[in-house]
Amino acid sequence: MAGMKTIIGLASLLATGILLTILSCALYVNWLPILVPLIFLIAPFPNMLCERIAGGGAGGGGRDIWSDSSDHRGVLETGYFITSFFVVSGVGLPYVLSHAEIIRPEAMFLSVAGGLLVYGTILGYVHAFITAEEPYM
Amino acid sequence: MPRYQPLSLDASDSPRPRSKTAFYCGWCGDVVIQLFDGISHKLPSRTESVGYLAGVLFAIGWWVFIDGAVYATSRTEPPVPVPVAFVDWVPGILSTIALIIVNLIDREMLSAESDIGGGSVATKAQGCAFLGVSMALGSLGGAFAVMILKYTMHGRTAGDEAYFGFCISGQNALIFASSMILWFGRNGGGSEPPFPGY
Repeated sequence: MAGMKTIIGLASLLATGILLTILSCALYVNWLPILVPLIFLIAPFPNMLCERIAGGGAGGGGRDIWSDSSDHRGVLETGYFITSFFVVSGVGLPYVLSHAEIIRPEAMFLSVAGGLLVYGTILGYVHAFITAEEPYM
Repeated sequence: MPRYQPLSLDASDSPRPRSKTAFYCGWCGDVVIQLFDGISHKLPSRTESVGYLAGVLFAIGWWVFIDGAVYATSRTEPPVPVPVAFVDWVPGILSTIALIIVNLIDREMLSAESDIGGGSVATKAQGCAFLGVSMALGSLGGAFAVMILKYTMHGRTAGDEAYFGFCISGQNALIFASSMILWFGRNGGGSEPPFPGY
């Protein structure tokens, strides 16, 4: 079954991401990089909420139909805007911290890698298991 | 990720206009058109690309500013000669408010043929858009003014002591680019349907 391999792959991605983040905090006894995967964790939520709002009238997730009618386009664009804001923030926060020499550059690389893995896990989960026919959650 | 259904348009019942340019060479034009047909429904839509690009530019702008402010205040060995003041924050905040104002205006509200009280609505929308665009341009100019008045005119043109000035200018240029991309991207191509299958 393809679902089993997907689940195992996503779980190992998530575990690797959390491991890298914990390493970036614990190796340099500075727990500020733990904020990075939290930012990546809340990044998909504006996207999901706005898609849900925009597709709500179509009986749930009718996104392909509604994505270009003009009254739902603004809502969708707001979702994309805020989501990409959070994704860039997940990279920008450790860069700022390491540029100000609050955390070390190695901790920056580790935490960004860990956060991107966590975000990739969320994207992969949504792509693989949440289909357009049934609503989110 | 968008999962668009493949378009069920045959080439037979919808003949596509072939371009007769200098690059047209029989079969390779067909190959290019088929390649474009194959990938055109996998590319992100205009809404997606505009929203993501504008958000990325906006976030990079604000993080550049935060980076400059944090770097200027956390360097203590030789402290930065110009302290960070509230006036450094004003252009960025005005740019952000201008982005919100400009992007609350749709193109349908700007064009005059609205059915209920058309002229009044269009006039108000045009006034709002004018206010927003002039706020955006004014804060862009204000950022350059802050950089020049606080840094360049005092001979601080390079290195760490001018870093925050460049950060303010870069922040406002990025936020202005973001708001213009969002505005023209949203309102530019609405007339022709991007997905003819629907």
